[in-house]
Amino acid sequence: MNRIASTILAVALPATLTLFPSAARAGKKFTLTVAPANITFPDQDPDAFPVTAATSTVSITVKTSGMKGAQWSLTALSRGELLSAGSSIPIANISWTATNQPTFTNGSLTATVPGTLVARNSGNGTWSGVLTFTIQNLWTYATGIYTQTTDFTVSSP
Amino acid sequence: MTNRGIPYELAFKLLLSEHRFDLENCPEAWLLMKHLTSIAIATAVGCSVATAALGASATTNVTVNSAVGARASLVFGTTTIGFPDADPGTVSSIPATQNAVSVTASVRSGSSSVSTLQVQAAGDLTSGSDTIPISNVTWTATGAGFVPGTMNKATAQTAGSWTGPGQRSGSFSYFMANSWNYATGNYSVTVTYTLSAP
Repeated sequence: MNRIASTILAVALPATLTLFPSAARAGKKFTLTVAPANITFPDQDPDAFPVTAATSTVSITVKTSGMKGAQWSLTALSRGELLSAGSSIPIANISWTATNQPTFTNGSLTATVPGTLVARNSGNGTWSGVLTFTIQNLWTYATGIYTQTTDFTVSSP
Repeated sequence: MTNRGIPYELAFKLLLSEHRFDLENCPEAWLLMKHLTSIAIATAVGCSVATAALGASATTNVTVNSAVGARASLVFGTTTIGFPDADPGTVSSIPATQNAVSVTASVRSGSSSVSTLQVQAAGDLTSGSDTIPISNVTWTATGAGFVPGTMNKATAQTAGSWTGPGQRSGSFSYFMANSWNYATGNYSVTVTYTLSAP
């Protein structure tokens, strides 16, 4: 049995090195670009600005290939609430409006899997949209500099 | 090395068995098995993981930042209150015409910081050279954190207190003790409310 196992290993390893690239070329591929890499909300008076806009919009480009007509979707999933020391702001208080609808959609951030749909379409091509983020500006927020990471994932079933 | 004595197809089946791959639900594995050079892919990654390995998803992250600075806001429903003339024999305490006066105290502070609302009179009620002690003016309060009190010209009096940030709404109702001792006249004074957080 040990002889059989070692023989199989000898066959398998070279195959991995030589054939994986060709298999990758044949599969679905995505290129996802999100810029800038930071979304910043400035401090504002909640009475004068019940909603605060981010200092810049976020441009997203999805490029697909090898899809053969298959559908793809782009989701946003935050890794938690906005945090600052012992204080937090619900990540769901952040929402966005999108251009290039209906491929791109409006939504709110969430830390709950599977996240919020940002865009959806099918086939090969390149799609771009601009997201304008806003946050509910409430008196209940404790002072601090809050931060959190949000993952944008494009995938195909 | 070679796999002399072991058919490639048999070798692949052994690997599949050892890694518990489900061939019936994994057509890609059967497809790969037909090509000896593809054995390693099937055995190494399996069907579910292969999708990722083939680049069928891409993830990038964005950092979200939000700045929240300290600030306070104090809003009264009215900035002038008046006590009408009344018979001291029948009305011992004169309510202000504007009662109850709404008040909203909003604070952004640290989560454990204590904010306070204080009031202090600039002096006694005056009408020419006549005066009525400001301590004859009192107030009652509604709303969580708002407290009743008596006006004072020497020391600021607490009218509210809260822990942490938030927007609190309540009301004050003002009363002036009536007395036969008051000289006739129109009396006035300014009182100042201060909302503060450390």
